[in-house]
Amino acid sequence: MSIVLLPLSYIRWHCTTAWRDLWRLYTNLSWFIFNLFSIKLLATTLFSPWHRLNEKKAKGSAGFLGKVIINTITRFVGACIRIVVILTGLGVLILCAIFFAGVFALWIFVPFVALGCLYLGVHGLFTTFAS
Amino acid sequence: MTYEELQASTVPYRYALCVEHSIKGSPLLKLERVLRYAVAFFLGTLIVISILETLPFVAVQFPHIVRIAVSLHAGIQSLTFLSIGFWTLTALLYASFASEYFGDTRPILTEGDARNVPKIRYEIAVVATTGFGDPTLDFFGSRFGARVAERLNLAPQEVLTYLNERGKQPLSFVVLPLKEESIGLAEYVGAMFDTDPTFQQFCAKHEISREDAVGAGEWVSRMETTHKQQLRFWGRDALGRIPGIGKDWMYGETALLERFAEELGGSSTSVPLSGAIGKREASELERVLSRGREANVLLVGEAGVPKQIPLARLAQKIARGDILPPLEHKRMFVFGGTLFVSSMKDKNSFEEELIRMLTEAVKAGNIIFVFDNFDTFVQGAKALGSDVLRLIDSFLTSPHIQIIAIAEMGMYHALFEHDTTVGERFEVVRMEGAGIDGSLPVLEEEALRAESANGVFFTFQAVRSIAESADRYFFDGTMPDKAIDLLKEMVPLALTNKHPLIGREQVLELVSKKTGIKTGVAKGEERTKLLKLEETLHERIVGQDDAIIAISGALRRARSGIGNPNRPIGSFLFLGPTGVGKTETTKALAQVFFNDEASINRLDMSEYQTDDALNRLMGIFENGKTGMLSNMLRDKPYGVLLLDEFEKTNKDVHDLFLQILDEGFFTDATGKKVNARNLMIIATSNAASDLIWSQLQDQNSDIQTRVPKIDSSKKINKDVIITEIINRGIFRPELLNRFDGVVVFKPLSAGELKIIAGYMLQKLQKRLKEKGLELVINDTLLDYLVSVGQDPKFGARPMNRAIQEKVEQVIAEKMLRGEISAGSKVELTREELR
Repeated sequence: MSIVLLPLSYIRWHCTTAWRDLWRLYTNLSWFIFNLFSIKLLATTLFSPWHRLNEKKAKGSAGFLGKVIINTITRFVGACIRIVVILTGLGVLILCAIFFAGVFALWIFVPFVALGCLYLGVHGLFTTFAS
Repeated sequence: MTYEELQASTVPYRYALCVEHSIKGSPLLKLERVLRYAVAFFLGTLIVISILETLPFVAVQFPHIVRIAVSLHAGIQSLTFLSIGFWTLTALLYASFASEYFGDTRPILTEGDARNVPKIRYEIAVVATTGFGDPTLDFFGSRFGARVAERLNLAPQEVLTYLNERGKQPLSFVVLPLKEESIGLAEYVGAMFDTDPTFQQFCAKHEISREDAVGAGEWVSRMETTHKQQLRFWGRDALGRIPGIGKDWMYGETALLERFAEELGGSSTSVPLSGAIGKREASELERVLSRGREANVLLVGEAGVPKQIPLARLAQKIARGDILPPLEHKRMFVFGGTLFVSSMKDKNSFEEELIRMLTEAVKAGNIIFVFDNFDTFVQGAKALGSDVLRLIDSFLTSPHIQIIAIAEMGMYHALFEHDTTVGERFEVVRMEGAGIDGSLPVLEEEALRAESANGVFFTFQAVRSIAESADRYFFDGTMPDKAIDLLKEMVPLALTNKHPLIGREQVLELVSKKTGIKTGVAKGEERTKLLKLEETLHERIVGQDDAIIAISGALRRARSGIGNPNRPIGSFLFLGPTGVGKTETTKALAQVFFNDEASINRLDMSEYQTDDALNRLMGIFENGKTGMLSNMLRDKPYGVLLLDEFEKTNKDVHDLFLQILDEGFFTDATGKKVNARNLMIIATSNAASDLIWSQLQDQNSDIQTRVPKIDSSKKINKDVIITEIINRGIFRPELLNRFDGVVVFKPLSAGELKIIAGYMLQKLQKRLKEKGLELVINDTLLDYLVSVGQDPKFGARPMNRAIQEKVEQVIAEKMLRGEISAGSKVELTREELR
């Protein structure tokens, strides 16, 4: 194969295999974001005590009440922080989806955009030097 | 798969190949990077200019700056467009190249669409489409072939000459397809070697074996794989290494653990994880640790076996999330117990702290606790009066913590093997050393690291001989550790010698220097010496032609390296009466082979006749006493081991040497292996001397003097002697068969004794010369010495005494009487000697 065939081969890739590659890139990134924000893990352990900080010793009714309050607080604090992280993760996932939707929609035009940029650049330089 | 089929299999890479053959992949990536920076620079500049133009206070305060900005605006804008255009096109081109270029990578974590991996690797596709239509020409014409040639130390000019002479040839090139892997450079080079005789000859001319050629191909393919792994940052394997947020929020704090133990990170491990070393052990660990209860492992291996490797592999799997569910999100803490024990004042504080730490680990809920050097930790605790196994028993049965204990093989046998608690609570996982083949990938990685840090270059032959030499000549430590040490030693040596190319010769030179054993191909003076070995030995040994021929042959075999590497260098049993040259031959051998007579380790086996002989040689575990033989071989693992009067020791010791001769090592009382593979073992014995005598006795012996005469022309019937030795029960046949050679030394004839007398007198002559006296050696003196110094039982041994008692005595008396002084000639008459 020679350099003459390069543009033809490229066009073939751009219109066929590239979609599959883009889709793989998107799934990999979504998988990464999902894992980075530990969305599944944090959702399943939403109400677990924060770092297992729970009060076990409880003597008498006052002690029992104290234990309930402390455990509720640690669980509540843990849930709040987890919800924040989960929501952030979901937000990033949605942004990623939107970004890739845009890429998918505009993908076919990307080479033309590049060629357009080149035209604008060359034209601009000529105009600048001519003036 | 024929070459045509191979070429047809390049279809999955056709686009990448189109890029490869017109632009090349690597420059494309570099260009993309440069253009990326250009876009950032111009875009940044454009933004700054635009801001400067719009800010009113800048126009007022710095009008000249605004003027410059305005004049540059249009130009920078055009350059920005240009750089964006070029960059986008290059990036698209690279993306399309990468789409097929990474087609042969097999990610550990499966990605969205599981695609079919091509039958051949990308390198082979590049080779097969080089365009000459000939497997060998295509290979050397491609960039990958050039890299393999470089690793084999083949200069481009040499390759070019070979290819010009060879031209295009019809070949029946066939490469076998692989079941699970794609065909890589190793398989291709192997097929080339098998089907192209000119390539074989070319390799033979450059001392390249098939294994070397294939190994170099494999190395280049492996480098390509690593390169791809580094580039493919968007793959799940790379992305999965980034730890997730909040993975440990549901687990407890680990303050105390962090104080005394070190966390084993999945991605930040410094342990080399190339090749297959530790893979089996890691999956064993995973299986055992995933159990509900008593999920504890006792990881056992010889000292020096890198036992951290399976742990690091496991940590890496956990970090990637590619692990069985019970081990998800686990953290591995390695506790070096020795320091902990020594920092504790007494039993109570020790036990209290240990329990606190393990309780914290249980509370945390996601800890795999690793006791490093568990054997020394248990012994240290015992010294404080604490029984660790009983103390931690409740943790060993807990479902909330997994424990891995690491112990050395010898100590495992001594301390834990027969302990029922250990047997119940732990599952033993044995870790083997990597061996030569298993060490190669690790060594190759180390070599590349050394290359980039120090500017040296390792050929594949060098890496292979490092692995082989480390395995064969260095018994302390295990593979690949000892090979890595040797490789690291090569670097400063190469830098000092200003010879950055490290080949097989440089490695063997270092090994020879370190061990005293001559390795590699014998050259120059040494080669002449080996070829004329019989003559060299005859300079010191009188007579014994048959023995010298047998020994010389065996020695040449040993030196050429064709001997079994798992046995001693050579082993001989010298049979014959006393004083016929057995020890002298041993000394001569040590001088020839090791260049040093002091390399002889001598054991008088008559001292090892009693029942405790074996214990004295091997050591006793109960009182920690080390053995004579173990110590001797540890101190001097290279040289000659002389076992004098071998027949006198007992059967147990014979059995020990049966193993040493067969396997090249033995296990001492502490369970540690002692190497004997770098020894020349020589056992001497005068068993059946009477038979040797009777075979050679001259029928016309002088009956009056009762001195039997030897007929040198007679041949010894060795088979009869050996059969008699076996019949008498002196040595068992299996022991005799283990020796490389059983050599029979003849008793010395009168003529031979006369020559020996001459040698001895020459030594005396030399000593007297230092005092200014000249000793005349004539027949009278020689005949006299032969007559008084000959004893059929002791061979030439009485000769020395005769020289001392007769010749030296007479000269000393003459000196005292003043009959001779410096400058005198000393000629002794028969009367004076009487």
